Amino acid sequence: MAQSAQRVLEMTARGILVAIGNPLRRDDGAACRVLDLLPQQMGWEQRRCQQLTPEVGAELAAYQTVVFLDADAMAEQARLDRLPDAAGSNALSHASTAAEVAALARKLFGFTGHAWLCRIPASDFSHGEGLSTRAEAAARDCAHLLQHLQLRSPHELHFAGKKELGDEQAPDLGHETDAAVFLRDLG
Amino acid sequence: MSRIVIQPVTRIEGHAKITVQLDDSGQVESARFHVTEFRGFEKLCEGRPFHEMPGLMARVCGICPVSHVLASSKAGDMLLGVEVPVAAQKQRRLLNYAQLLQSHALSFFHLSSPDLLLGMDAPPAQRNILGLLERDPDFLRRGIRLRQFGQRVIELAGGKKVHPGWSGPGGVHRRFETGQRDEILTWIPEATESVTLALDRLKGLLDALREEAEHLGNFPSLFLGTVDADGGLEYYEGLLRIVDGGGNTIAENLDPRHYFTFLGEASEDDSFIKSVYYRPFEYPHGHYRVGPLARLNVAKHAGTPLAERELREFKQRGRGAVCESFHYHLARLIEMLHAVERIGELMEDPDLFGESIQAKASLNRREGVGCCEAPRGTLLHHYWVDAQGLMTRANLLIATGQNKAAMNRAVEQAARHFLKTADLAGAEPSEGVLNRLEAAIRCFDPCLSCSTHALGQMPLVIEARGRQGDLRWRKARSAF
Repeated sequence: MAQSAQRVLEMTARGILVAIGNPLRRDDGAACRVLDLLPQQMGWEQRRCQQLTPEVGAELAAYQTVVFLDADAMAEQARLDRLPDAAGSNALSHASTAAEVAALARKLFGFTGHAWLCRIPASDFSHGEGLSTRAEAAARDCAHLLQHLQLRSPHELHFAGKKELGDEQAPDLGHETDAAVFLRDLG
Repeated sequence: MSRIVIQPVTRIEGHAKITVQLDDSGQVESARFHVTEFRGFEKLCEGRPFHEMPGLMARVCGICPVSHVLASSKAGDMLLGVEVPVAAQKQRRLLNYAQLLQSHALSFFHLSSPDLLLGMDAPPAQRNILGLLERDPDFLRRGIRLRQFGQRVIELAGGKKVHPGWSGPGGVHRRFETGQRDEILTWIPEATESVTLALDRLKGLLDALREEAEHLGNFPSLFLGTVDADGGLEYYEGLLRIVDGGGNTIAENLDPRHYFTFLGEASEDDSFIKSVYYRPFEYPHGHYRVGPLARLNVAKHAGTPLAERELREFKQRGRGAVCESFHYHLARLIEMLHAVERIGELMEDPDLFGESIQAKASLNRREGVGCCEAPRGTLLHHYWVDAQGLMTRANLLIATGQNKAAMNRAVEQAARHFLKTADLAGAEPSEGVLNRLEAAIRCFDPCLSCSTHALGQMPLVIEARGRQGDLRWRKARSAF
């Protein structure tokens, strides 16, 4: 445990959370809400952008881990997915997907770390501020997930799941949780 | 009679469609470019304090917000009746060049170069920036870095990359610091090299793209743009000049604050963009083009050494004026080179760092006009206010609206040429042919988010139809 924790320390020492979405389109701002819910001492850098563009990829090379956060109308529950190294493209759009930006960052700007996508279930994308009840609950779940995965400081490490933490507020993510996969892949 | 509809038109800013009408023999009868977006900012701003306008108008567009901030700020300058301090003027110029650079980089490298480098007939799944990633990663990386540079300049001076609220009536809100200059200077050599390489690359491709250059909007027209006192390239402050397809001066020394005396506007039934025309030639014959192609046609010189050389070579491609809309791409790169040179010059200009950045005054006029050159062309904001400084009316003349007639003509020309050569008898036009119709529009790099604001100036029809397509009710309004 200590060895894998040390490797996680090294790999996640320089991490960045990239929140995608428009806070003025209700649930589309769920990713920004997740960042708002995270404690300031998390230690990871944060970016907020309404739309992912290739220029974001140019900034990723300095980091070992990037987690993109995005509201997702198709997601049924909060989840954290590893992004593939290569990506297809949406030829119709001038906005890029997280997978595309990560692929650009690898091939053009020397990004060698791990890229993840945190999907936040959402349903209301109308004009306005504030999240739907569902998206707010999902944002809190995602914040909990990230909080228990990331470093509070270089000397601490938190794992997901109620059993490990004894934290009744933590989401119950099951046996082979995405969190466990996240940590295993980092090692 | 049958129709071919391309919707949405891809790799442009905003939503549009192209309709090609065929006659019974399968030949092109007509073709039109329709804008299907509606934004309505001219109505939204009524009742708001004029000081709010730069911040509000920046939201017109996420690609060229700085242009709207500047035009709006200048309209506010006129309402206050002030002379903006030199340092503030220099900052405004700096961000205008930075925006030109990042917007043109987006247009050329991300939206248009897939066609140019990968081929008009390449499969759509590959004809995008990820296709470029496989074919020429260094080219793509340089393009992304150029856009990043422009955005970084805006972020450093304006506070944020998108919708910077740093400028308002009377000046700007933050001083420019020497630390910011030092960072910007480190970018200049790479940016200069990248644009130069892109220019050489495009020029090398032009022979292979001769058919596209000749048939994607090649026609004589008027060209309108801003020039300085010596007739050189100018993007922030100057007078308007109009030339014809032969390069002959039609009008010059036109004060943009009196645009309404020489420019007229018209609504059309099939699009949310207003059309703009040169009044002495009347509508629709008075249509003209704006933007990079027009600016290089109206300017007598560039004023920076590298761009000067390119401008002279560019002008040799036409007889007095370059009329091929396809050469908007080349003009865009020349403007990028000019912008990089100007940004470098401003970094060495001590006036940029002046302490006085804001002129303060109360409302002194009830009407103000602001004009600047946006990436896509000449942009005008015209405001009317009441005695309390609340907006009673606004009129926006957007570049893409001024190019609308030319875009229609380009689409029709492209359709007549490329569809005529395709086998239409019982077969669908090929993807490459349809892409060429879209490419005719992409030459103009239209920003449709900016262009659709007039409310109540065109009949607005709303239809409610049942599941079977039957008409339940229809409402039509001629004014709001």
